[in-house]
Amino acid sequence: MSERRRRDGDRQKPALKEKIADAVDISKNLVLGLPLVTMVGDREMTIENYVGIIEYGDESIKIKCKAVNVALCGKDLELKTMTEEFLYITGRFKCFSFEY
Amino acid sequence: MLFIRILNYLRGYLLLDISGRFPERFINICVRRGIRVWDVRSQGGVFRCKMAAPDFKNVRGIARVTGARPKITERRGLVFTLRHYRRRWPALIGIMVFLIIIYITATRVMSVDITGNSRVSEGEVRRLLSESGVRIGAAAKDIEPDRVRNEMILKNDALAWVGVNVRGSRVFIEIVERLDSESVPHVTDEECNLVASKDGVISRVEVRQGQTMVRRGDGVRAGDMLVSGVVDSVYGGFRLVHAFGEVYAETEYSETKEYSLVYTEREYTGEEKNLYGLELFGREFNLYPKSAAPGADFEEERSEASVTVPFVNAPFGGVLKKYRKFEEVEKRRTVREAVDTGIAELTPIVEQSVPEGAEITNRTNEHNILSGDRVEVTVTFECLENIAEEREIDKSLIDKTENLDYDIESNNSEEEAPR
Repeated sequence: MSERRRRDGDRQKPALKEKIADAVDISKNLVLGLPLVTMVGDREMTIENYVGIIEYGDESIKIKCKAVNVALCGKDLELKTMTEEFLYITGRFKCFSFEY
Repeated sequence: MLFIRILNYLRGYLLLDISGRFPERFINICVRRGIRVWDVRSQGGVFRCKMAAPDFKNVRGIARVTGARPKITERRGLVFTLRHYRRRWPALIGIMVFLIIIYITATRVMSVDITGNSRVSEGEVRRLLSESGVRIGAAAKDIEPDRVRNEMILKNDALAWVGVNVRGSRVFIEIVERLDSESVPHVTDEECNLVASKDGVISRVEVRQGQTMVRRGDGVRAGDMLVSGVVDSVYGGFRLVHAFGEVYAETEYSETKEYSLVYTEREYTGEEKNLYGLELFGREFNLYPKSAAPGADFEEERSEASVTVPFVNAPFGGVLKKYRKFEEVEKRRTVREAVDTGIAELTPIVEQSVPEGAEITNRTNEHNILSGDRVEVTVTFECLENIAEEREIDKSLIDKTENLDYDIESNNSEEEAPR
């Protein structure tokens, strides 16, 4: 129960931050820890502002970001480049979803 | 992207197979610690990725913490390639020697091609070239075409122009020779005039040097001036040149002879005598008495048979003398017959007097009937020939006070066009 409360609290915190970000008009991915995702069709994807890899396989990748996790599935997925700032993934993507 | 790949190759990288329970964690930690990992692929739970070679020593701790087992499957990059060939250092020396040879052959003269020379021998050209520094083995960049050209032209008068083209390690020499002045027939090297060697009517004048004194249609006598070697200079005054040229004139060669219409002809009576003699040591001995010798009304026809004896110079021989008796008969012929006989006799005589090189343009025959049954026959050949003959200029006749302000020596001057 306590764990759940903490999570609720976690979720309400960004709401305040979001309001502030709206008010000050600065980019939300920095303030709220949201990933910046750039996709080129179904082949290339760049994810900035990530934390780490949760699961990595040929057909599905899960990436942990600060506020929300990113899940990707497809074929021949490959982590082309990894730096502390961004991830560069290639392959043939099928679906892209956010997980909480 | 290509640039990054080249950079990776130069620095050297490893192909890693990462197995274990959580390879994702291993990669996460690597990235967080600044260890570059790229081209990650998952193959049945085993991660295959690339990693810079110097970073691998920092990976052991991460592997221990995460329980992942990284395994190097391949080493790629310049460092590893060189290490692979480390034991083959003689090959490296071979490559160096090869490069040095390439460098030498590319910068040194390897061949000298000479074209365009006909009178000047190739050996002479090569000698001149090597004096000017163009020889096999010389550094190609040190060849100065202008200097080589000037030196060669100064050293050999027969060269009019020399082209020096350096193409890499080959040198192409193009020779242009001066016009062969020897081929123009001339007697003297001094300045001279051209005078007529025969009488004639000028039909064509081709002057290459000198001042022309005659024109087409002019009649000239032997010794007349045709082309003067004293030329008015464009700079004032005059200069002396070696007059060159051909002056063609119509000349005549003729022969005249009188023929009588009355003439004598020998008629043989048919009486013949055969007499024999011997020839010994250059002397002739008759084998018949003196009284048997024929009179003046016999025509002699000799035939000899001689034998040469070895070691003796004088021939030994027999002589057969055949005598035929004749009578002189007086005959008369028509004018036509006399003229025909004359033409037949005179034509070969005239033909012989025509000099070589003269072109016979016309042949005419004339006859005059004279008093006393005589006829005069003339055979004439008209010819076209070069009558120019060189004669030295008599310098004592030239007014010495006139200013000779132009170089007399320049026989081959081209700027003057005396026409």
